[in-house]
Parts: sequence; structure tokens; C-alpha cells
Amino acid sequence: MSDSGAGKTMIALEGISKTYPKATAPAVQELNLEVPEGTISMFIGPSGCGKTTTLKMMNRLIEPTTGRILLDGDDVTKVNADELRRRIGYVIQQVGLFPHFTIGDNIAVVPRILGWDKARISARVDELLHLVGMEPKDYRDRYPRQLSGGQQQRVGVARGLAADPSVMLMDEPFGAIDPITRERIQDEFLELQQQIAKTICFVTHDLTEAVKLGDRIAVFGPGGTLQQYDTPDMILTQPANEFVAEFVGSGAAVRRLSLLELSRLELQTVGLDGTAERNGSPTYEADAEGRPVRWAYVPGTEAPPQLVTVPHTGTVYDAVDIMLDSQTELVAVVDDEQKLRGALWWRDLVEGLKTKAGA
Amino acid sequence: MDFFTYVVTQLNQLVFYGQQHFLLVGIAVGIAALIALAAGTLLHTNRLTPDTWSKPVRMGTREGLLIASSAALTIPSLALFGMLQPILGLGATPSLVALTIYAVYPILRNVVAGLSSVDDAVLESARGMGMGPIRRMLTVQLPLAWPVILSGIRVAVLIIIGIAVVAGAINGPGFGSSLLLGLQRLGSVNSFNQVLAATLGCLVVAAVYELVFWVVQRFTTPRGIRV
Amino acid sequence: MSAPAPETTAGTSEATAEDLPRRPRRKLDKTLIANPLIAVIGLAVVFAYAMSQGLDDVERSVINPQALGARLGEHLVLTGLSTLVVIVIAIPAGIAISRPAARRIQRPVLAFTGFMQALPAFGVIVLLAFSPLGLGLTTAVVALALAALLPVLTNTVVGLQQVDRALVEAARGIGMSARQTLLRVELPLATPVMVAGVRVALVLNVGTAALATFIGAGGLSEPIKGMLELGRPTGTLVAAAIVAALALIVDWLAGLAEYLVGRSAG
Repeated sequence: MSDSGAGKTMIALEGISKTYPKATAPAVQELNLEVPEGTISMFIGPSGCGKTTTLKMMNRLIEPTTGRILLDGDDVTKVNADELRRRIGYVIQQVGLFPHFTIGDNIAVVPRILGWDKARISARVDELLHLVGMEPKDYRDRYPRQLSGGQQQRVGVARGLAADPSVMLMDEPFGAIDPITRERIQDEFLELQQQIAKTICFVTHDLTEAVKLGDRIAVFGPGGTLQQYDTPDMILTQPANEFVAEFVGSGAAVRRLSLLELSRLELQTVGLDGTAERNGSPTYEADAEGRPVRWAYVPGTEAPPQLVTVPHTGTVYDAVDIMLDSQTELVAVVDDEQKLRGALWWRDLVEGLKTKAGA
Repeated sequence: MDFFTYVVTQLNQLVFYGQQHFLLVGIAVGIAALIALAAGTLLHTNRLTPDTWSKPVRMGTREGLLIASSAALTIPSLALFGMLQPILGLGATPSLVALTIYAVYPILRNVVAGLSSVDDAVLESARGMGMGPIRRMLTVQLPLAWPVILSGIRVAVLIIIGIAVVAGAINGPGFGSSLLLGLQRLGSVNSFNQVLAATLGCLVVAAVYELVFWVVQRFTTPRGIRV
Repeated sequence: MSAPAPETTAGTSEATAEDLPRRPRRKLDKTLIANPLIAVIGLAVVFAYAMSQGLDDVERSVINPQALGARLGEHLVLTGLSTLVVIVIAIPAGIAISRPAARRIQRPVLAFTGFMQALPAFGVIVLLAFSPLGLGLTTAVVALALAALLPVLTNTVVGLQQVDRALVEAARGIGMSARQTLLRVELPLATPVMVAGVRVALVLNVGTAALATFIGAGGLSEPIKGMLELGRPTGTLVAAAIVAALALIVDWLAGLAEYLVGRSAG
């Protein structure tokens, strides 16, 4: 999750509202929203609070009753809607791949409309399939019905990215995928964003997903009002009003754990057994490559507990999960080569985690 | 004379009638298909169509056409031919017109049903990607609805083959006149053979059309949706 | 076989094209209003036209209340009898074909019946006239029955096929015998589609009964044929319009019945 600071606003909604013809109350009320470039904004809220309506007003699948939409500074409220949508990626829950097109043709839809030449399109299709982790020569000529749900949605994301749009709109794209695959796709999605840094608006009803993926979260309340638009941390720790507080609900403190990356923490130092003097730090024994094998000495215990590791790219949530699972009070944090970086005590969670200076 | 000898000796005549019948049906269903396709695509509405004034007009016209054409199909063939006679006279023209009217309903019904069976998610993503309505209809909706539409055309052909013989009563082309002649000459030599040949001739025409449809279906159904 | 009527090949196109759960009720409502309207208005227009043209003596001898009344009677008898015969034969046959035991022949049978729609009803009528049955009413009834057999057969089979398998399984599961399941679960649920088939047969028979005039069985199209042969356009028009109106009215009545049956079948 990157937050590229204040940065430029890629898409903005000014005074946007939507009232359906025969309705008594507006579906979305006076909305002002500025989404910074390269960030993921999650739209969340109970059903009927206008999050999907707002998303669809961004590419004018639903036309706003009042207000302006600004894409990269240009007012696009009244321009040709079809042309506008070709500049914005759109991914929906049921994917909506054309069953009579191959995967390659599906991805190539918008580039073809835009008139790219064949070579460029073909290269782009391969590039995108690679990007979403699907081998082009295996998948390019297959048909949607031959793919699993998770694979179909990956293609859906690739299709949305095809014409290299400045903005991506995603409407509960992972909602129909089983939980195990969903988690994997979410991780891949985050990695993808690291590479492409798109401006993304993402509707979800899952707070966990919102906290995991979002740089910002927009909480929608009844009557289509925007209750709070802030970083996940702020939403969890400083809800703007009672509605948001109730919506976030209990478990906010635990959820915050998944926001904290281990690499940013000041960890308990550990030493290789035999090298450092025992000064109250745990020591460990390593194998030939320097990878930790077992604890040699752990202060405060009679016999050293089992050595369990968690990668430094993980979050505190992952560390807690492992500690609970193996019933140890200490977990070792390892780097990409599996070498020990530091350790985290269970009691640190309660006594307060310290982040590295400048992290 | 036994039937087979009859067929062999009269082969040229029979083939001639067969060709006429084949063409009559083909032209009638062809025109009906064009009408039905045009009406079905132009008047198509679905959940995503914006609620402007044109939407109810289109729906109304579409329903009206369906009702009118189904009512027409209810009218007995002889009656319809008879009603056209004062206006269009006898022969090929009223036959063609009546048969075209009959053929519209099965095709139109399937065009409407086929178009509305296209998955909403597919349409929504097509719209969301910026495909205009014409492009959507031509590249997404029609191809996906095509198997159903083709089935409707096939049904129309089979029905029309059967009805077309009645055109004999107004001197229309095809096996009809041969059939009537045989009837009129009831009791005389070969009258039975004549009638039987005409009746079976229709089945032959139907068989030929079935072949045509089998080929068309194989070559025009998009691969991704072939069951 | 000539097959005028809305729900014709309910088997082929309806089962594939339309959402089966969607009840035909909505469609019925519209034709229920439209058909009689069309019939009445059409007749009125034609009569008005005929009045303006005036009918000559020849025409008048055929188109007058008594003669028409007699013809109408013949026509209705023909239609009624043949439809009855069709129901008696086709429905049991359809039930038999839809049974699991007959599964292997289902598709070929349905394909065959689909194909046979091309068989001209008229041809069948005439052929039968050549048989020992000769000309006359009996032949006509037999011919009409043959012509209308297919829609009822097809619709019976399809109607039974589209009954939710889960319901049948549930019924057998709680201990109902195959026969009981058929009578208490499947047939009631299949009835709307079957009745639609009978409606098609009825309208079909009104139409083919019109052709029966060619083999001397009388009926309302006797005047049509007569007028055609004598080259009287106005007369032909009037006679034809009457038959057309009859067909629409019969369809309307059958549609009402179908609607009512559909309502009670839930």
C-alpha cells in the first residue's frame, strides 16, 4: 500500500448528486471527492448508501443530476460518454467477459476500438497476461468458459488495463471468488499496483478488504452521504462520527495490526549463538547458509520454544497469527534470504509497538 | 403405374416444382427474417436502456408487432390467401406476401428472446468499456443471440414449407398446384401418385433446408458458445 | 403440416429461447385483448367494404346467414371432433415418450416431429381422400387429427420435461409411486404447456378444416373456395374474413381457457 503523498488529483467529483426521477430522496447527496493520482480509494458502506452509484457516475454509466466530474483536470461531465469510458478501466463483479471472444480478443476490445495496430495490440495482450500472472501462450486463445472464476477475474482486470487508462473503476471485483483464491488475488493486486501505480476507485462491502487494499477509504452513509474519506488508520482510530464508528465496529484494534508492516518496526535484536555475549537477547543456531534453525537461548524461558518465522514483508497481523498457531510467545522475522532480522515478542503487542525512526 | 416409376418419369417436372417451392419458401422466409431482424434490433430494449421517451415507444411497437404477427399466424392459410386475392390477385405475388407475413412471428419471437437472453454482466461491461450501442449490437448481442435466432428461422422455414402448398389454390408456384390438380383428377390414372409426389416433395425440400441449416449453424455459431 | 398459431413449436424454440419460469401469462393477457379486437374490427372493416361494393346474386347465394350458419356448424363439428381425437391419442403418447424408459428415443422423436412440420396438412388431407375412406367428413376428421397431432405431442413431452426434476425426486423420495407422481405432480405442472399445445391444435384445426372443403367435407371455407373459383374478389374477401375471424375467436376462447388453467395450476 503506497501513499504517494499529496500528489496530483487524478479524478475529482465536485458537488455530485443523483436523484432518480420518481424518487423522493437522492441516491447520492452533494458529494465532493478528490482521488489522488496513483492511489487506491475504497468505497465502502452498507447496501443502498450510494457507493456503487457514485462509482458508476465516475464513468457516467449513471449520469449525475448535478455537479461536475473532473478527469485529470478536464471537465468530462458532458463529453461523449462512450469515448470517456474508453479512457477509464471498468471491472465488475460478474466480470462480463464476452463468451464468444477468446481471452486475447476480450482484452483487445478497447485497443481495437481505439485503432491501435495489430502488432501493438498483440504485444499489449501478452504484456497484460504476464502482468496478471497468466502465461500468454497458454491462455490467449482460450475461451472464458474454460477458465475458473479467479482466472476470469484476472482477465477482467487485464481487460480494464488494456488501453492504459488513467483511472480504473472496480465494482466488488473479487466478491464472487472463493475466500482462499480471493486472498491470493488481493495480494497479487497489491503487487500489481506496485508496478503500475494506477488511480483506482474500488467498491467493496468487506472492511477487511478495504483496510488491506486501500490507501484511502471513503465511508458512505444512509441517503448517499460521504461520512469520512481518510486513510485506513484514521478511519479505524479516529472515526469522524458515530455512524463510522459503528460501521467499523469492534475489532478495529485488531484490524489495525494488518496495517503495520514488520519492516517498519523496531524489532528485538537477536544474536547468533556463540558470537554475541548473552546480554538478554535471544540467540539462535543457524545452518550452513546462515538460516535460523532453532533458538539457543531465550531469556525468560526454561527451555527455548520452537523457532517460527514470519517474512519481514508481512504485517503484525501475520506475526500474531503465527504466534497463536504455534503457541509461542516469540516469532523470528526473516528477510528475503531467510536470514534473521529480528524478533517480536507477544508482550510487545500489548506494551506498544515501536516503529523505526523515520519509518 | 407404381409410384417409383411415376417419380422417375416425372422427375424433371417434380424437380421443377421442387425448385419453385424451395425458392418460394426461401424468399418468403428471407424477407421475413430481414423484417424481423430489423424490427428486433431497432426496437430492442433492456434493463440498461436509458429511460427516455423512445424506450416505451420501442417496447410498445415491439409488442404490437409480436401481437399482429401472431394474430396473422392464427388466420387460416386459405383465408389469408383469399383475403389477399382482391388486392394482389392470383399467382406468385399474393402467395409470397402471405407466406412472408406468416414467417415473421416465429423469427421475431426468437430475435426478441435471443437478444434478451444476453447476460446482463456482459452488456454492462461492454457499456462500461465504452462500446457504443451499434457496436454492442453488432459485435456482442447479435452474435450471442444468433443460435436462438437461427433456430427461429429454421422453424419458420419448416412451417412455411407446409403452408406453401395451399398457395396452389390461388395458382401460386410450388407443389401446391400439382397437389390440387391431382385432387381434381381424383380417380384417374396417376392422380394418387401426383398427390403423393407433391406431398413427399415438400419433405424433400425440407430435408434440403435442414442440410443448409446444419451447415450454416456450424459455420456461423461463434466458437466460444458452441454447446 | 401447416401450423398457424402463436405457441407453435413450443418444443424447439420456446424451451431453448424463453425463460421457462416466466409464465406465459403475461403474453396471454395481451393477445387475449388483441385477438378478439382484431377479429371484430377486421370483420367490421371487411363488411363495410363489401357493403360499399355490393354483392351480386351469386355471391349472395353463398354469403347469407342461413348458408353461413350451416357452414359454420359443419366447421365447428369438424374442428371439435378432430381436436378430441388428437387429445385422446397424442396426450397418452406424449406421456409415454416422456418417461425415463423412453429417454433414448426422445431426442430422435422430437427431432422427427420438428421436421414433420414441413409436411403439408393439405397434402395429407388429399392423400387420405384417395384412401378407402374416400371423400367426406370422416376422412377430414382423420386428416385433421393427423395434422394437429404434432403440436400436442410435442408440447406434452416438453411440458413434462420442463417439470423441475427436484420436485419429481422429492415426490419419489417421500414414497409416491411413479404413477402417483405422474398424476399428482408432473401432469398438473405440465398442464399449462400441454393446454398451450391443445390450443395450437385447436387453431390449427380451424385452419385445416378450412382445407377440408376441398374433399367435400363442407365447412366455412366452402364459400372461399367457391368464390375463388368463380373469380369473385369481394365475395372471397368476405368469406375469408369470416373464417379468419372465427379462427381468432376460437384462439381467444382457447387462450382464456389456457389462462384460467394456468391460474389454477398455480
